[in-house]
Amino acid sequence: MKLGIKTYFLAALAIGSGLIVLLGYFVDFPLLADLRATFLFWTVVLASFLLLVGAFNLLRTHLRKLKGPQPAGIYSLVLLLSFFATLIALSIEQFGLFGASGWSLWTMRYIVNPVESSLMAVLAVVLVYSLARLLQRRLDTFSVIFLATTVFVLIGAATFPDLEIPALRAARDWLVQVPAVAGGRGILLGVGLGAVAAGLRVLMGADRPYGG
Amino acid sequence: MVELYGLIFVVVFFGLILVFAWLGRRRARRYLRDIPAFTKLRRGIGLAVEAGQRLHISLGWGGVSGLQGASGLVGLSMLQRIARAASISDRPPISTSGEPTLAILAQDTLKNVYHTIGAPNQYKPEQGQVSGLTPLTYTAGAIPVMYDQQVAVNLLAGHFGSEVGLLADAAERSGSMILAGSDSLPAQATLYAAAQEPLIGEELFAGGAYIQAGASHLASVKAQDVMRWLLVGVMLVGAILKLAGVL
Repeated sequence: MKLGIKTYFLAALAIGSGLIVLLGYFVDFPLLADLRATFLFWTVVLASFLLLVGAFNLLRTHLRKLKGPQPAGIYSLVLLLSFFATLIALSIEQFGLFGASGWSLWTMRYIVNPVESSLMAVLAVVLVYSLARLLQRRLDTFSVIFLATTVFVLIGAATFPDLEIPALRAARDWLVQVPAVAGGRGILLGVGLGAVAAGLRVLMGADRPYGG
Repeated sequence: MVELYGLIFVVVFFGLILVFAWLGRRRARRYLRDIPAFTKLRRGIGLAVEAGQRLHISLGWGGVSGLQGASGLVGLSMLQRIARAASISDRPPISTSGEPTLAILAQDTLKNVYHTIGAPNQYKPEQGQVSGLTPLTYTAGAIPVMYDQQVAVNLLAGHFGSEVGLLADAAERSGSMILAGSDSLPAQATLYAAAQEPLIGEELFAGGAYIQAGASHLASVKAQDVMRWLLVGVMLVGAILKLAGVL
């Protein structure tokens, strides 16, 4: 594949800035530390600006959905109306017009939080349903162990009136604190190695998610 | 001192990737174990292209910085490879993410793929969408994509929380295939129960090697294996020394 001059320029920029940030973390050298801090500050500023870009991307996607023959167009309309209503309300509050105050808090407390809590409640039901279907979908030793462990930990965590079984609680605590933590750390070790490899591939210029 | 060990670790890892990449050019041989999810992904891409259906790649909401950003980078590599393979389809692949940086990089990736294959006009910015800016709104925004866009295969590759269970459920209800992997433990546990083809542990990070995203991916998988054994050895020696009262 033929690479253009733009690709080389972007790769050099990404590799150079990446190396400076990485070395600034490991090597105690004032110039590197200053450059690293400056780059990270720019990243924070850019990330804040990108939030705005993300909001526009969301709006554009839903405007297009509204124009097209999509069956879920009504949801896009609700999203757009909610977006502009929130924007207007928060602008009024921000500029102190009409004595408005606490509107943003009200929006979070009475609209966003209840809707997100409802989704979490749906998630709880979905997870129980998925667990029930697990053996039907994939009947093997690990699935049985997964299901049995989940049920055992749930029973061990439950409080039954006038029924306390110390051995059950101790077994549950051991399961959660020893094998589960060991397994979790093993998985995280693999994830950590994978993350370092992914970062190094970008530093090598082998992966170029920024284009080219 | 800790910084020095860290630097040595990174340099050795980097050196191993370079060595394996160089050796891989001279003698290519089968190295990877069989992971059914990737076999099904390859088959699914072919079937989706033939049937004129869409592929949906979900990049999560972790951004590209920090530990959780690495899974997003892997997702982008896979998006590039899949977009290239599915570029001849009537319905081009679509990507959703819950973080603006990922969405912009996804757009850039797709734009470059179409530019490389000589069809820049086929690229549409809507193919790289931000479906929401918080974990749950992102999930709520990605679900309609699965239902409305005639999606045949969903690949979830990025940082998610346990809310990924809603995406897996939606994929199953819409009759599409779902392969999913994440760096987060709650998401992995949820996906083990909810997804047809979950990727556990570091399997997601080997994704690029399995879908032939480049020689460096295979080299980095080999380097990861060497580093893993090295770490296992260090931990065992450390435990023995601790037991012996030396440390």
